[in-house]
Amino acid sequence: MDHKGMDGMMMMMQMYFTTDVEVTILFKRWHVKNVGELIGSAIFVCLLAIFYEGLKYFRDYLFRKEALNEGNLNEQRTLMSRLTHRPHVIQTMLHVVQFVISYFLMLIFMTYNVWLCISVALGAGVGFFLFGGMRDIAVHITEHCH
Amino acid sequence: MAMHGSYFEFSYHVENLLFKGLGSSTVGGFVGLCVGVAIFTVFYESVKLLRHYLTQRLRRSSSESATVSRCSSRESEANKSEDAPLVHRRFFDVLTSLWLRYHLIQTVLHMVQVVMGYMVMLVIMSFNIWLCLSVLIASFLSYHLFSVYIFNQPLLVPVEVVNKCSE
Repeated sequence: MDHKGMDGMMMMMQMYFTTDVEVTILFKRWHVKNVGELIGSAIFVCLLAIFYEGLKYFRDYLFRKEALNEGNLNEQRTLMSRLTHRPHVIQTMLHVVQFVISYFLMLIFMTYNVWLCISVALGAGVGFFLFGGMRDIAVHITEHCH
Repeated sequence: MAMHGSYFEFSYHVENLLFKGLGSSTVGGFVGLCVGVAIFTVFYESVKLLRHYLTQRLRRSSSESATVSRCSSRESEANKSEDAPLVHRRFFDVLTSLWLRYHLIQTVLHMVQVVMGYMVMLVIMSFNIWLCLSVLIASFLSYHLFSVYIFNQPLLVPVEVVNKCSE
């Protein structure tokens, strides 16, 4: 595999699925060289995907809890109080975390490494199985890709 | 190896689209590739449709049959318990329940949806304008078809899963 210039960003040029063992994931320092490291990375990616599903459920849970607790205060709120309302701020921070993790998962899938892609899919499946059953919504609208 | 840049390319030549060797250098082959990508996108949308449909079926069948036996002491979402709803039911009930079967199917479909979603994203990332247009048009047409003619409701509206006894 040729590396296209060392301008700080290593861009793998192959754009098709491979079963290589050597792969660089997300960061320059995260360079997998042998099977053991690959297995460890795959397990980590799996856990990341499971955590992502759990985070989605957790945001759902917080939202539902807040909606039940403060259902009748909406008329009194101004824009500023709505923006600084504590559950909303927490949801915003969790949204950023969810956003970043989802793009990390996408970038991991973009390494085109079959083993990592399988671990993302498995993590999504296990995560959905554990956490997805408790959500009210089967397919959420904010889930691009998934 | 790859004509891969970070800008859209208006060419009829693609090589190694997702899989090694999957490409074409002729216009006819390229049209075939676009059609294949469109069909793949339709399958992807249909997976989402299937999940919505299964949820609706479960909700309908659940409201018909008696749900009292499946309902545990949990009454509403307001309970502050951090445990899963499943913990409140007897394990044997959960294992044999219709809900578990539904949930396993949904899990498998979720995995399929995740992988297909990523593959559609990777197709778009090939940055070929015609492939992107194929995906967009197929996605638009299939969503329109499914939501208007088959499902009769916007597929973006979240379908509530009957998991609680609050129905």
